[in-house]
Amino acid sequence: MKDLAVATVVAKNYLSFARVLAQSFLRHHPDIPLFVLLSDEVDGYFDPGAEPFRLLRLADVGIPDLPRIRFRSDRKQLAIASKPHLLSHLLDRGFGSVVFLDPDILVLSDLEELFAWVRRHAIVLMPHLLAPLSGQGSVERELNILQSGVYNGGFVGVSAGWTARAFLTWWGERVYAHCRHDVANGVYFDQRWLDLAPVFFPGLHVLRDPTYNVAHWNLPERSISITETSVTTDGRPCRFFHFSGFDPDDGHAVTRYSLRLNLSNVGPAAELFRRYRRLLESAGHGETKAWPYAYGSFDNGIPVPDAARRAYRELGEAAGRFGNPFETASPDSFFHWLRRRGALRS
Amino acid sequence: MDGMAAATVAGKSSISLARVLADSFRRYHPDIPFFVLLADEVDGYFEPDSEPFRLLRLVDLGIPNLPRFRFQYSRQELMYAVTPVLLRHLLDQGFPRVAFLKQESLVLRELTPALELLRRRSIVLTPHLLNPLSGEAGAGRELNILQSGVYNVGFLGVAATPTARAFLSWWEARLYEHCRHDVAHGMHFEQRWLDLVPAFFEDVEVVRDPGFNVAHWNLPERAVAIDGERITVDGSEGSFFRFSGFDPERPSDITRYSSRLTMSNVGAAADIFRRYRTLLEAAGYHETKTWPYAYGYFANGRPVAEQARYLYRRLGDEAARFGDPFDTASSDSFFNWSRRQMGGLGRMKRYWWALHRVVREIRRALASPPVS
Repeated sequence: MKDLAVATVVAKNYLSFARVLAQSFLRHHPDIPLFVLLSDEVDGYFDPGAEPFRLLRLADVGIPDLPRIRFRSDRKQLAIASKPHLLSHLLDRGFGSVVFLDPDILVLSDLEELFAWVRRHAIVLMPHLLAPLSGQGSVERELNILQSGVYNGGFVGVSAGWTARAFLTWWGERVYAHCRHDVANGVYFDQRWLDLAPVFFPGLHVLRDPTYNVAHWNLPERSISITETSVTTDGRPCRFFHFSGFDPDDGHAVTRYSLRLNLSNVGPAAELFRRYRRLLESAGHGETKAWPYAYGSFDNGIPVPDAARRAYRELGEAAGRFGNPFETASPDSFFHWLRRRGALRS
Repeated sequence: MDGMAAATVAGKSSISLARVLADSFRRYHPDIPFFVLLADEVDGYFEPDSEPFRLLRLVDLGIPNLPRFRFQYSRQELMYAVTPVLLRHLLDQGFPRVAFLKQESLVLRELTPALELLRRRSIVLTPHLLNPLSGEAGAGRELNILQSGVYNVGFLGVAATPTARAFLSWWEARLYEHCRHDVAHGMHFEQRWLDLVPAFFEDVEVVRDPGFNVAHWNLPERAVAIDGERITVDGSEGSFFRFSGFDPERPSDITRYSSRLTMSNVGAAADIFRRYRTLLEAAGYHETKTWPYAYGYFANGRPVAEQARYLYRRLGDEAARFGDPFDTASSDSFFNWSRRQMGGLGRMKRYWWALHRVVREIRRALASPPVS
């Protein structure tokens, strides 16, 4: 059995993030395969053979009902909803353990300890916060986590076996039908579903270690120190940093999710954000960010508005009669159905 | 169970529930003292010494600024918000382990397996559901749980360890102002805060026994069988049943929270609901349910409206200038101030509150959490 694989998922416009993740990971683990699932089409924009990762396509990973889910979901939803299928696929290929990392993660030192935890447990998750918060804004920050999910979906580790399979099947079904931002109804993309996982799957291990998954939501509680060659968290080597919500084109913010934090008040961590920006730029961020989303337009080039995706979702099974929803030639197409209802401008 | 304690919280109008729970608990655990914290005042309605439990009062618990605490919350919110205070108090009294049981529950045999977990663990929780549900209907029920909390406060155990102390002081601090039903902002009374417990504290155990904490939210998955006095659930001993949302005056319904479940479709479990209703009636349900809530009225006997509590809460620390918010004599009282604030005209008042509700709904709909 092949031992372990690491994987992430991106659309083309995030390809530079996947490159930086892959380079940072392979520097420490050159022998562990890193897979990138493209929730998009290559369309000649890059050469998969020249990338520092192994490319997977949606058609490879067995997502049910692919033509429809590409239309039902927007770019972000499709990438997120693919995660359980990506992990199942790599288990199917014979990997004993699989680790998912969000594309906006930077690996800073070797992950051997983490891999040992994953090998020993059917499922490993990491909480956003490791202890009650104190001080200003602590209640609001904890409530934000209750709204979005106790465990961060940016890391998921699984090991082959019945428990991991049952988890991935359940999670895959839930995110297929419910992967949206709807906090009042208990949904925050794929992430709030994970709150139920420790109860539903007793083999699950909650990894509580401040050196992993350092990000805007726990940065105020982490003491970061940076030298030329190392990054430490609370005095120990920082394993990986998660730049959730970071926009390299915004020179001051560290995340679009928090107004409190910016480069001038995060202390030494600011240097890490600046380094990450330089890495993204060297990885072609300026170019890749403009690459178009293949499932963002009908086949005649007209952009698919969110309202069209919503209408398609609401049709449920009845949407099947339209065949490929991106197609526009036939008068029986979904495109013409929308147009007849005045939902698309001519 | 050398030295441990068990406890619940009740108001006067729900004292019959506390009686039934205390009786059922003491039948199987006669050596464990059972406490009832009254989130209300006795006001001569019952004789604490003749009850099957030991009565605790809010004033015994060292709650800071008690008048404010009693005023800012509704009856239900107050009952839930004092849970950590009650547990902390009993640990302070020297009990090495304390089990909280919510009032609308019935003990059907020894709870020893769950109570014994507290010898090894600081915190013991019970989940609403033990396994994934199936299909789209299952997803809908799971979403209900995600809105209200993964763990159910029907049972909660703590041991006298630094970890449990840290947990209780954090929970108590959060519930001092944030024990409300506001799902869009991540709150479901006291309960959703518990979702954070396995992340915040090491040393937490989850009871995974199908015969424990059986209630409307998991009944469809649990096979209940009754053979005389012996109740089994999925083959395991039925020990602890919950009657959340059950109304003894609507005997054909199981719970007001689900229209799917009725006495005629829950199988053998229906008999347990009928037994529970009989026990409540024998414990004075019909009489006690009419007993008034002491913190439901101002000193002059006028009822405290939900709007007045809301207005008071919005004032935050500023409300301190009113002193006791139930007081009505002084022209500087909250009572007189709030009447001036809400205007003399009934019609204006209604507009004001209608507008307030619309704004609140919009705020809820727009609430978008920062996240990953």
